[in-house]
Amino acid sequence: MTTRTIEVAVLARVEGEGALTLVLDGATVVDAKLKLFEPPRLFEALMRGRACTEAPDITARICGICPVAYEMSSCHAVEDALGVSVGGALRELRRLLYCGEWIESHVLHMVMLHAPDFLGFPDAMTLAKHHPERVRGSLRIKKAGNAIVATLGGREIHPVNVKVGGFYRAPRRAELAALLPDLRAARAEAEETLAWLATFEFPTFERDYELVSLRHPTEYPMNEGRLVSTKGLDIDVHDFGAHIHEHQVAHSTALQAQIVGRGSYQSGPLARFVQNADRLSPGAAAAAARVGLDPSCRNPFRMLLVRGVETIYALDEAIRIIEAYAPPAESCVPLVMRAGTGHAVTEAPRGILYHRYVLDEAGIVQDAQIAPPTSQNQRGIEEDLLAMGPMLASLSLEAATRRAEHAIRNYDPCISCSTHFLTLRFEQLGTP
Amino acid sequence: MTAETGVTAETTEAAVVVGIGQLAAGDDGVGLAVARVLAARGVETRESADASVLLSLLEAGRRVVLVDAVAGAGAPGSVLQLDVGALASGPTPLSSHGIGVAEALELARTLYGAQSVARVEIVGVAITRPGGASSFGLSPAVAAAVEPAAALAASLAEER
Repeated sequence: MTTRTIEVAVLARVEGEGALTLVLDGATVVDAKLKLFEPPRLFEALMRGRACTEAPDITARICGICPVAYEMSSCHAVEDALGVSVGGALRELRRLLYCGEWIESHVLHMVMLHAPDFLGFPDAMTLAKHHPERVRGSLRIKKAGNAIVATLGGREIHPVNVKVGGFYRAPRRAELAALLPDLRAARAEAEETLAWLATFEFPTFERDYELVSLRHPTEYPMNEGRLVSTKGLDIDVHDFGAHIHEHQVAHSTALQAQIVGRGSYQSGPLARFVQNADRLSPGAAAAAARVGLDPSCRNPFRMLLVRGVETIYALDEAIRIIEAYAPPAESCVPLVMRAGTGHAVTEAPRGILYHRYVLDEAGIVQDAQIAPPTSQNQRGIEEDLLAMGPMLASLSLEAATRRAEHAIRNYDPCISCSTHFLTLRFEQLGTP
Repeated sequence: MTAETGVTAETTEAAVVVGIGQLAAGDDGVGLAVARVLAARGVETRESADASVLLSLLEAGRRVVLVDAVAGAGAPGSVLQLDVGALASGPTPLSSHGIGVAEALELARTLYGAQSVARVEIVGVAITRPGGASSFGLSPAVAAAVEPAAALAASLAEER
């Protein structure tokens, strides 16, 4: 058997900068390294010494695709430390904002970034030439999601209306109602998009994953719930650090994560769907059934369809929240500073996003930990590639390279989010 | 066609001025600076870090004046009126993230037809390519170009 090496110097159609090295010995992948070489972002250190109320605005800058996720996890973690609970209409508005982000992020990934892999096109531009109506439709869906974020968040990218305790200003009912026609049109487009995606050919591949997501008593999870897995994890988010450890690897500026005593795990759309399919809206559940998705799915390539189902769910949920919306009396709950430690996990489009803040009595951040979904998924992506040896061995080097990139994009990696950590080691010259 | 409708057909609606750039990338923020100057004067504007904003405007049939930084187009601070067709072979407007201007226009041409792109005019401000480090604010030469670029963009955007 010959040894073949797949090298992708710069991964395309992912957010941020990464590379891949894969060494194949016959049908065995002997080495798989997803190299996230984007410079470290150092946001955890940046948070130290800042007021806890600055956390949502500062951490939102980690990502232009999923700023809402950073705002939500940071708000919930700080509120946890301060002993504050946000309910009623304010809680619903947060969920609506998250729906907007899921819609825009999922549809961008499904159609513009991932669909070209399934159809053998090099990029979205070529896809647009062959399927202009689908691309036009996806842009209209994305616009409806963007409009939620712009209306509720103040602008489309890095929204500015979110604060610890709620919002700077709660929208009027008419402002949200104005979004409904486009959301309803997007709902119909999302059904058509999913039906089109379901016509793709999905590589046969499964792994015995530990899938980790939030689980809420009544809702498909976004902001709250216990952290559960397909292999028995069932913990309060306060215990995240006791069960999930992050560690450095030499080839990446992002930490990798594993469940203590077990190993890698995967979070994201597949994990959410598998563990929460019974919490979908009736329309989204019916859509899942139509494309043959059920909670037994362990094929990461089919995560494309799960994103389509979650897009439909997010549109249903956004419409439901807006139709029932009555503006709150106050746009935020009052905050009283105190010393404490707060934790939160929310469901970013790509998976679970954990924040922990240690505050002093004045509410100044003494320590911060941020575990983004892509760093948590990173080791599992490498393990997917290690398990893909037989599939890749039958392909030409060019086709195998494309398939490996395709497999990485199953997880919609957001590399800029993940590369926030760096340990500096100083060595004294002349010391033995 | 009646004389009245003929007159209407020759009238062009006011354009949206779209400023593209990154405030944290020094002179790359000049497109945003121009958009802010014009917004204060009541001109309809959009600001974006990338050119994806063009797609929804062109789908809606809007006329667009795009203002962006251009590297390798002469002395920093030079104000240029660029031809849409020359983008691919000419100086490349910078976009540090997301979809670039040339890509957005090509996508619009594919999705919404050549006539959608014919409604775009581009004002470029020459800058030197930003370095790796983040920096806020414009260099003196590029800051001095904000007013002439705004004047050019405003004249192109006017209803006529």
